[in-house]
Amino acid sequence: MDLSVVHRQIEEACNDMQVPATRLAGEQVLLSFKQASGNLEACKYILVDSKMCMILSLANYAREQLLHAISVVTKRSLDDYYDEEKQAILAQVQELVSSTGYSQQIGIGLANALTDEFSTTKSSNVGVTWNFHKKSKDFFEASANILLPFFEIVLRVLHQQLQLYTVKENGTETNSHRPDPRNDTLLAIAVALAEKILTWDFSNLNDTVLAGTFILEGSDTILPEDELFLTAKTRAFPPQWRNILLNSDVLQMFFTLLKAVQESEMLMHRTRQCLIQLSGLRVEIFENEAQIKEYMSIIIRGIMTFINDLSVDLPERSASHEYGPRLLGVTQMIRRFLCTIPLDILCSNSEIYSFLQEVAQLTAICLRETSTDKDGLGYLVEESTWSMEAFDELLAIWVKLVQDVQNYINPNPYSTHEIDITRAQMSSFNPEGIMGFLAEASYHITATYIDTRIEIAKFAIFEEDDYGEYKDWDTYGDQLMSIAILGRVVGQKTLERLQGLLHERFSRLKTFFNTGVAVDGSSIVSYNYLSSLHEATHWLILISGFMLTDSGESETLLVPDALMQLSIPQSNLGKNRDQVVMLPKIIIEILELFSLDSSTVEASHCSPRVAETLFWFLERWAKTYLLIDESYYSSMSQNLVAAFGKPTSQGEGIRILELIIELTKRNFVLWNADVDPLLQIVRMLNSFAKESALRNGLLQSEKFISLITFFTDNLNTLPEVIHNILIQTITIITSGESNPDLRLNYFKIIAQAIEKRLINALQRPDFDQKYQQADVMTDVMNALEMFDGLALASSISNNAMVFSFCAKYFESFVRILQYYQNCPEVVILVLRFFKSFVGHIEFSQLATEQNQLAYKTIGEIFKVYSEANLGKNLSKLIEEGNEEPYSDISILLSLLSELIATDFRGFFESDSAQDTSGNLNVPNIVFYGINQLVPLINQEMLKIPRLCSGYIRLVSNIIESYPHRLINLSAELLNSLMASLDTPIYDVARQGYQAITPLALFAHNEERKKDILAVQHLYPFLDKFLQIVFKCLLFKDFEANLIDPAAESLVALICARRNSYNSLVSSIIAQQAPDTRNHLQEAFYNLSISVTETLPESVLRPRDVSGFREVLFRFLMDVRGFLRIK
Amino acid sequence: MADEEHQHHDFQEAGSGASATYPVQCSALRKNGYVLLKNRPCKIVEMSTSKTGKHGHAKVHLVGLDIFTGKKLEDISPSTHNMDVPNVTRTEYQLLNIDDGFLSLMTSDGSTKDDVRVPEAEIGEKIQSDFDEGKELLVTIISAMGEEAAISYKEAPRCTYTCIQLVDSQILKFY
Repeated sequence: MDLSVVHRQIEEACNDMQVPATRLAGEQVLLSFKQASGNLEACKYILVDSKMCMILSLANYAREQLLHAISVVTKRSLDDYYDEEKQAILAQVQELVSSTGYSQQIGIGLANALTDEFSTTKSSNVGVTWNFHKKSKDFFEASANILLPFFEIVLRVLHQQLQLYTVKENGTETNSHRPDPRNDTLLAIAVALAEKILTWDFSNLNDTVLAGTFILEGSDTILPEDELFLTAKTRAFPPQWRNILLNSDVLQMFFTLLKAVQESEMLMHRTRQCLIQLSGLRVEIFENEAQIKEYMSIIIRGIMTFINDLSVDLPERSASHEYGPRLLGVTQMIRRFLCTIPLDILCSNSEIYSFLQEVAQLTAICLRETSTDKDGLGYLVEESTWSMEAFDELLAIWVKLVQDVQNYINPNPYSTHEIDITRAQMSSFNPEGIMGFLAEASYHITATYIDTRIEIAKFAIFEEDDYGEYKDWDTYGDQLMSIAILGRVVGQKTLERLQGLLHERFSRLKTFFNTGVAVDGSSIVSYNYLSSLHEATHWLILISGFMLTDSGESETLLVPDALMQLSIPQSNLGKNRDQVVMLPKIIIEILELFSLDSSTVEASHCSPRVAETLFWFLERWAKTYLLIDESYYSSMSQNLVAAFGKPTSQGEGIRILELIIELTKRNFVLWNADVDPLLQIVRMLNSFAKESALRNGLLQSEKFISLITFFTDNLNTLPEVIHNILIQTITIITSGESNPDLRLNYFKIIAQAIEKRLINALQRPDFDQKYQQADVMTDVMNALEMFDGLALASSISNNAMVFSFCAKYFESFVRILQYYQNCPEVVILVLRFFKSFVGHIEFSQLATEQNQLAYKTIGEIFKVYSEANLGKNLSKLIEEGNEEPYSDISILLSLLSELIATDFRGFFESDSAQDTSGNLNVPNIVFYGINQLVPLINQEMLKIPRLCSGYIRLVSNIIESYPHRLINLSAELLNSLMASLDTPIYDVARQGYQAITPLALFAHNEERKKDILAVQHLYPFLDKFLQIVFKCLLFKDFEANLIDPAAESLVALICARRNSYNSLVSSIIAQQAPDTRNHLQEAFYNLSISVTETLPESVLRPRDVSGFREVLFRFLMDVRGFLRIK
Repeated sequence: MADEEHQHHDFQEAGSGASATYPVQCSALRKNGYVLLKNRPCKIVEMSTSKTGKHGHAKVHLVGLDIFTGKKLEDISPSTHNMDVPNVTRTEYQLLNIDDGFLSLMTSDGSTKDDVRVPEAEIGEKIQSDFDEGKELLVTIISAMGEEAAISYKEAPRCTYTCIQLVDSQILKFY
């Protein structure tokens, strides 16, 4: 073999591999080389000689693979040596690193490979037990064994390499001789290793008990890097690491290193990650004040230099793609530092104020950069997203600092206290001083934020509407909430600013609507002018909404204390000069301005998004301020009461509420074809329904009745998605009327509107011929959706009314189902109505005949549905494009589950095992229904997660609820239950366990009663279940949250099938290696003796199995360590 | 048969007096409903709104499948505009014979209807083979704008009870 010829051939083949057309040919050459004799010699020659990039990386790859193999062998043989002998690993690496050139590279590469192999996340899959992996890692990281010396080695190497890149002070070395760090393999490996060591997950310091056992498959869990990012905390280091971590030269070296490797993005990134870790060392590692002070000085100075560097480079920034990551890196270091060290300790450093000043400036710079139009074409370039991310990091710091000081000044038992009071008092901590500083910074940031949002608004025209369902108040919710926290520190100034800016927008919009000209006089108003005006208004309203109110669901939200305290002393100025009153007023005025007649030209200039945002504001604001309840507050602002209070307090709240009703109607007309604003208005009404003051306010208004009539009359012109929620909302509001006569009256208005539509269609003399005609079908469908809305709104206050009204049409619904059996769009609406009806009606409050009628009708629905669909073959044409296949079956499955739930709701005892009246009851209908459905469901369909989950839920509900009726449970049902345990879908698995428990319990109790005949057909299934449960618990990845239901199932199964359990245990033990059998036997013995002889008769409660659960947990922690293999 | 009374009509009757299409504001169209796209009757399989710019008015993007050919058609329209919705009828007939690629169907008045083709693809073959086995079949014909096609079929139930596997005996008392 002529080596140089082979060399050339291989290089050519490598080139061919890069081109799609010749890839196959190249591959062939390489594959035949793999088979050739003497190829090893040739490889050696080529790897040493070639300068080709691809071959060089091949050489790197080969080296890494070899080192990886050595690491695996080292780890696997660890048990064969005494501890002293194991130190040879370290000695070997030390020896290699202390030499020069390639050996050094091999040494550091080996350290790197070993660190991976001994870590939790990167260890190879080599078929050893979890215990072994854990023991190896413990050895590796313990005291001065390996990891710490490795860190020292890597520091030495970094220090040595750094000399090559730093220009000597005396100028003997010039830049021209400076090597390129991108070609420095040794440096690259060393930096990577340093990063790994600094993010190392020390077992004892950072573990949660359970995690160790169950996160064995490292690839499935959150990588440590991501976790660190999420928690924004540096992991704890053992005390032995103190001397080296706190060494000022070490800290300093990383700062210098970052500057030295500017050419390489990768090296910069890794070094930055090291610095981020080092910036947030936890206070526990420091031994005394002097240490912490020195550490703080180094970090502060280091970061300050970076901040200065960022601004120095400003002019040529556009040329550097590194600016964004650099900026973000610095802000992450700052956050790690300022959020880890308690504020009182930070304040003991004399440089802290100037540092915070710099950070405040940087915060404003980040903000301004988000709005800089870098390419002059109206597009905010990618860089601005870096700035926004960096801003969010910094914002989080300010919020934390403000809250820490606030909590210190006004201790609050419900919040965490970062500042230790005694420690702070001993030092010269001055909370008022720092708060004064933070107030200034807060205003600076808030004002810049508001200006920036207005500035960015100028580019709104270029923004694509690709948000889909995400609204700005969700996307930027955290940011806006943080701004509100800072803004309230300087409430008066912030509110004034927002009010002034909104007023300005209001005037511009008004001028434009009145005259058609822009404020600057240009008569041709560009779309751009309008859209930036809309966008700015949108953001000002958003910020105002967050400033004025806190967010939260289903709780009473109070006026934020800071604002209440701001408003109270202004009572002498009157409500019209109180910013807390003025701000919402201008926003309502803007809404009035926008609520135009849809036929006007101006209406076409309105923005549906601004309308949506306005109603979002009203929803949020009204909950807290409108018809304000003074009794919730210890001190109350008279201005707020006068402006928004109840009539009984001489407040003008009702007038505003009536205005909102009026504006609601006008906007429903204006936006009748735009789903987003409509849905938001309905959401607002819905939230009013939950606040008794607002709901009663609506009900007392004449205007509200006409609003309801308006809704019901025009429903058919509104988008489909509005139909049922609109009816639901108005029914909920009107059901809150306390006067029964008035309540009935309201209900009649709604009911008649629904009735009219249905009767219109059904009572046509030519219905038989015309039932499929589009207008007839639309009437039917609209009526069904309205019925659905009504059912969804049923509650204790309207239960009887809703039932009686719906029941009048039960027969019609069955008829509709028959007529439209070939029109799936109608079928689904009938089924959906019954599902909502069963899910919301309180059957326990109804008379027996009423229940009977409902059960009978549901039975008929199943009958008609099954007759129409059994054995039906559909053309591919109509199956195609169906995004939610079999949603009709899904609905029927959940209908039955809901029906079972009604059996256990309220005080209604219907378990009619002894019911001899011949009446129908829930289990009758459920078993009838499921037996209608089973023939319509096949295994293929159960692969659809939604359908599978609904099916298993139903099966488990049936078994759980009616175990004594399980005698004839079909094998099909049990088989699908078996598959559910082993699924990766958490809900399905949980329901599976919940189903097995009562089944096993039933078998156990019947057997005790010597009634074996009744249950013996279940035995094969129970045995199989037992096997599956053990397989999942012992040999598979197991979701820790499933331990509870699994423990219940297991104890019931063991009790029911004790002999099977014993033989299963024996076979599991026998399958293990001889050296673990004894251990396993003992573990099983302890598990077995904790199982009681008998279990309770009816239901297994958590406390019945709590003892067993503990034992099982210990058992799993113990045996999974050596049964689980990786 | 329980649902016999609603089969007293055929396409001509249902179509008489009804216009072929019906205008509906675009925003009020329903997913899984029907619409005319490029003058073809389509089933709406996708309906999404988009805006021209962040503050523009809604436009509706419609994706439909031609109910006779399965071809995918799309259209985009301002949400306030009217669209044509076809009158679509689906009718079940008893299958009497298959002759030269055409289904011979029995109408409710007892006459025969022989103008609907055996559908192409799998379902057509299945109808043929089930018919050849002597099964009594009910075929559903969809019709709109003067076109017709078979979309599904099933075996005619001989007796309502036979195919229901009853487990709980109590329910029998009721039905």
